[in-house]
Amino acid sequence: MAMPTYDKTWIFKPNIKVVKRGNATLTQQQLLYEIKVALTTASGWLDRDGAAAVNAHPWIVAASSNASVADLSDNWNSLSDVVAGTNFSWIVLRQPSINPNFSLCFSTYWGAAGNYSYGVFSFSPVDGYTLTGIGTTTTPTATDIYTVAAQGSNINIVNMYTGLLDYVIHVMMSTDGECTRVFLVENTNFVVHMWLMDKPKNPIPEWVSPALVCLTPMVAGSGTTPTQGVDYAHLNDAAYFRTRVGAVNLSMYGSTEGYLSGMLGQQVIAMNDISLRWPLTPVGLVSDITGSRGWLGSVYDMYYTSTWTSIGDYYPESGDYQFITFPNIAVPWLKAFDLVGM
Amino acid sequence: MALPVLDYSTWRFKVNQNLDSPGTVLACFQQLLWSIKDSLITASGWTDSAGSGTTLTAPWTVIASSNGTVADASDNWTTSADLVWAATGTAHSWIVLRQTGINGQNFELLLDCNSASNNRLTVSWTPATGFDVSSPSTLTAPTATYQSTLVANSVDWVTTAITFNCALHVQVTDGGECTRVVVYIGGACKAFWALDKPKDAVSGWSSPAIGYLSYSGAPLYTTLNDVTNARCWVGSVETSAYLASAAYGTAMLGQNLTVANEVSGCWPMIPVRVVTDTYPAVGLVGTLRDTWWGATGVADGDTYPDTGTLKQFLHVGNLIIPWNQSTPLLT
Repeated sequence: MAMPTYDKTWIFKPNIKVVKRGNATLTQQQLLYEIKVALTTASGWLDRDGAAAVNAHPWIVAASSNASVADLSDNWNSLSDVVAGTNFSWIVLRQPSINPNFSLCFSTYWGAAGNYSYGVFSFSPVDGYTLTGIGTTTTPTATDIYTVAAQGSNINIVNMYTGLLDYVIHVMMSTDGECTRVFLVENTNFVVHMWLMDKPKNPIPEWVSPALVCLTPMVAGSGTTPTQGVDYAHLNDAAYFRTRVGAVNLSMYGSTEGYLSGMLGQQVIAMNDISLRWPLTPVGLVSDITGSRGWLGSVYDMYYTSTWTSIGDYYPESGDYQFITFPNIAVPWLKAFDLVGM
Repeated sequence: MALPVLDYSTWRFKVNQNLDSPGTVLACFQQLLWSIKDSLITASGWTDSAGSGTTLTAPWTVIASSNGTVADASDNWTTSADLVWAATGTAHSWIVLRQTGINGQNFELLLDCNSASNNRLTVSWTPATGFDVSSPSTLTAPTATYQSTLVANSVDWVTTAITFNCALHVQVTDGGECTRVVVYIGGACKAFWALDKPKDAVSGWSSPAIGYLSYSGAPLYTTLNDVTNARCWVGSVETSAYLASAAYGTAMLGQNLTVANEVSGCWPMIPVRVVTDTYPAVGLVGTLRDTWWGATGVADGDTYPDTGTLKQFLHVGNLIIPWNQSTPLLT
C-alpha cells in the first residue's frame, strides 16, 4: 500500500524549546506565550523543505487580558504579560479559515493558590466570543462555547502542576489555515500532548460549519511523570475530539481500522511483511452521544501508527521524512529535519 | 451521506432463486449445489443493478468434474442427480470451476462432495496455477499446489441434514472480478461465499485474490472480524485474514453504533479492509470491493436505501453488498 499523500500543504515552527522555570505556573506562562506568538506571527515558518515561509493565515488576536488590561488588542506583548492569579491573563484567537468566527480562548487562570498550571481552554466554532464587557477576572463567553477546561476544573492545559519539566513545542499549520496542530513534548519522559484546531475532512453534509478541536491535557501519572496523551488510550478509547453539531457539544472518538477488540496499530506491531512499511491508518470522527451518534467525518493528514513506534520516528525512515510519529499518530513533517530535545 | 459509488457498475444478479424442497435431504442439497454451479457457468438469465435482463460476459467455466461415474474434463453435473456424496476413496462428485477475471490467472474453485453426509462438502480454491486435472478420478478430487480450503467436510456448509426450502442469490461482476453466493433459509442467511479481487492491494502482492465465507450462518463480525475465516495467497504463503473495519475502543463502529447516524439519518456502510496474520505475510494488504460492514442493529435481509431508488444494497448478516432493486427472497 502506498504511503499516503498529503491532503494539505504544511508549514512548521518546530523545536521551540521551553526550559523549565522556577515553578509550574511560570513554565505554563511561557508555554502559553510561545504558543500564542507562534500562532499569530506570519513570519518565522519553514516549509517542508526547510526554507523560510510566510504564513498567509496566522491566527488573529480578537481580544486579550494581561491581568491589568482587557480589551480588543493584543496585550500579550511579552512574557510578563502572561499572569496567573485572581486577575489573570487570557487571550482569544480567531482563525477565519476554519469558520469566519472560529475562535479559541485560553488562559492562565488557576483554581487555587500555589504554583499551579491549571488553565482554561475553550472554543467557539461558529459565533465567536462576546467581547463586550470583558475583564481581567473572567474569560469571555460565547453563545456556542465549548469549554474543554473550565475555571476551577484543575486541568493542565499545557504542562504538569507537579515537577519542573522542560518542554519542546512543535507547531504546524496547513497553508490554507484550515488545520493547526501544536505538539507539546515533555522533554524528560518524551510524553506528548496535543492541541488540534482543524476543519474536519469529509464532514457529513448535515454537519453545518464543521470545526474540530482536540486537547489532550497533561495528566499526572506516577509521581512527576505525566501520562502519554497522544495515544490510542486518549484518541481512540476515549472521546477527546470535540465539536458542536447544531446546539449540541459533542466529544468524539478518533476511529481507525480495527479487528477483534483492538486497532490495527495495536495488534500489528510490526512492519507490513509484504510492503515493509509501518501501518498508517486514517483517523475518523465518531460520536456516541445519544442524539448525535454516528460517523461524522475524518481528520486531515493524521494517521494512527503501530504502538511499536516511538516519538520522533519518521516515515519513510530516511530522506524524505514525510510523516513523524507523536507517538501513536503520524503527521506531516519537514524533510530531513530532526526532532530535537534539550 | 451519499450512498457509496460502486467499484464495479456492472454487477450481474441471478437472485431470488426459489428452491423449494424436493422432498428428501439428498435432493435438497443436490438441488442447491447444482443450482450454484449452474448459475456460475451460465451466461444468460442475469439482471443488471436496475433489475433489467442482461447477460454475464465472463461466467465461470468448467475445467473438470466427476459425477461419481465419469470423471473427465467435461461438465458431468448436467442435472442435480449427478451430485453424489461419498468419502474420498469412494466414487463421488466434484467439480473444478475457473474464473480468470479475478486476478488474470487460472483462479479455480473446487466443490468436492467428499462426505457420506449430504450436508457436508469441501470448498477450496487455488489462486493462479489451477488444479491438477491431468488424471481425473471419481474417487479423489484434484489437488493444487496452492490450495486453500474455505469449508471443510467436517462442518455443515449450509445446514444440518434436513429438508428445506431456500432462496439462492448469485452475483458476479460482468468481468468476473468478484463472485458472491448467498443462501437464505427461513429468513436467515445460512451460507455466504465470496471470491474476489481486492482493491488497494499492497505493493508486493501480485495477482491478489481473496476467498471468504460463512457456513451454517450469516457473515458476521464474530465470524470474519473476530477470527480469520478469510484466506489469501501471497506468493507461496497461504495466509488467513481478518476483515477489518473502522473501530474505536474495543469494538467495531457497526458494533458500537447499532443505530442510524443521528445527524445524517443514514446507516453506516464501512469499508472492509483485509488484514493478514500469517508470517511472513502479516499486515493490511487491501480492501474488499463493493462490500461494507454494517450496523449490528440492522436485520439480516434489510435493503438500502429506504428512500429514492430503493434496494440498491442488501444487508447480509453484518455485511452489505450490492443488490438489484428487487425484493430479496429470504425464505
